[in-house]
Amino acid sequence: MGSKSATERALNYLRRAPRVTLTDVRDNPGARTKGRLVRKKDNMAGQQYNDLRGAGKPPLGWIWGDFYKPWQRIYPGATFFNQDINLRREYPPLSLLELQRLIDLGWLDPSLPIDLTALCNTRQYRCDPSLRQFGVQLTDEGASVFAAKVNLEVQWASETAIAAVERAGGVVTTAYYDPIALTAAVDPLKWFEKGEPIPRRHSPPADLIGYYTDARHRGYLASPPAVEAARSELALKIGYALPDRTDDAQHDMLAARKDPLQVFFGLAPGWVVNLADQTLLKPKNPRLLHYYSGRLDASKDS
Amino acid sequence: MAARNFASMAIRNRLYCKSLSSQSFLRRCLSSSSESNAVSSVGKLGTSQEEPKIWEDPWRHALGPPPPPEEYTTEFEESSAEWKFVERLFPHDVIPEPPKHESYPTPSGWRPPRDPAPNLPYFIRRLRNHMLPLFLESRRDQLNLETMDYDYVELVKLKNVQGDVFACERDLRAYLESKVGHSIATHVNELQGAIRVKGVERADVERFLFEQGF
Repeated sequence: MGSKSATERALNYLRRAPRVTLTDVRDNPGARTKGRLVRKKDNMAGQQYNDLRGAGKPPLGWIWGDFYKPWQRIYPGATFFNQDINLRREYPPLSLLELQRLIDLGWLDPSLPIDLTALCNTRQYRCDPSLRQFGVQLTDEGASVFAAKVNLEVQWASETAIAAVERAGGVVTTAYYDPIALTAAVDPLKWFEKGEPIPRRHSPPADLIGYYTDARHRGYLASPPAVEAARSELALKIGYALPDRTDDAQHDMLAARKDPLQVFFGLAPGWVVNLADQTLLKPKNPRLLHYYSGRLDASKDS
Repeated sequence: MAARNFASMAIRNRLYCKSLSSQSFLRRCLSSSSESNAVSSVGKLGTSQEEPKIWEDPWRHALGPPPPPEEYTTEFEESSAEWKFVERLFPHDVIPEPPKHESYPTPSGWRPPRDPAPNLPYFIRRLRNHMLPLFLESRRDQLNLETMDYDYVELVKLKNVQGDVFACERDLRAYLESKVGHSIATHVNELQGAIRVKGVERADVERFLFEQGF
């Protein structure tokens, strides 16, 4: 042993010594003073202070200043506590009674197809896409008195509401509008004044594909024969005779449907509205035409 | 001490020399501009404004002048055949006149006011959207000692009453008490032409107004 060199002995000592890491480093005793609460207001975290007490609070389960740590991430038990609050879709309701009243008072013209644009243009119904609202929900209040024969396009409809409209001889379609198309649809004049081309409607998101391809909901992506079958099925279920639509004076109006890419009736996506000259500018660029033809959407190909 | 003084003096001297040189530079510039003023001041000014200093944006100097912005042009076809579809999309700028219906009430229960107006000491004006001036109000009642919670009462407020408001209130109460079979409470605000009713539904007051012809 004694024959080893000093270097060798030092290395040997280090090899057997316990590892020294940063965590072993400590302050000298008395090197730091412990923090003390100077004033109460310095430690309120904005929670009970006068200015902030009355301010807007985030929804339950979320904490101001740290939106990366909602409760369902902090606490494993609260898995779905308001988790999707920023993703939920709201559909402001419109009852059949209100719809009938709008028609009775001349706000809506039943001889034209009624869609979200027509409803918002009355200024009696409001839909704000910036509040994560996704269109009109038709509720069944006043289903017993509804008598107008309309071609209606809504975003959500209950079964009773669909039955009431179809019993009166009308047609309901539920259609999805993505937020940009919805912004154009709720206030077309504002959109045209910006000089932007009419947007094309995108496909519904994955969780809504099922709704809008279902004929029982009168989805706009359902096949027409399936919708016809669902109409007669609902008439049997609720118990009314389905009016015959073959020799109807309003047959053309009732048969009118928007293309799944279309936002406004009669206007194709990609066109620019020239309000000053009262003309429409239709682009010819093949790349633009390709974009607005919707062939980029995989769902349209299949 | 001496060393520090020497150093500070050196700095001062250097600063002084710099200021001198800048002054002479300025003087040179001024003299040249005054000389050239006689020749063409406009042209000189124009070039000096257009050419930026190198030190202001050395990157620009190194890379050369930026290319002109790319222009995206697309050919388009102009047509006015579809303008009627655009006209459909314009909002109502005034409240529309209600259309003539074959029979009243309409499916939604609306009626126009009787024409001519009924011969009564009072008159109830419609709202500008052709609806009845009936509004619902909620007022806090007494504390319920069993639940230790406040009760609330629903009131119906009739507005736009012109003429003899008290006569209207008398008729309204007589009609409603005969309908619902118990006494009801009313409150008249003569200045505002408003009557508040407690203990009935809005539909009952609506029926009274329609029967009177308002």
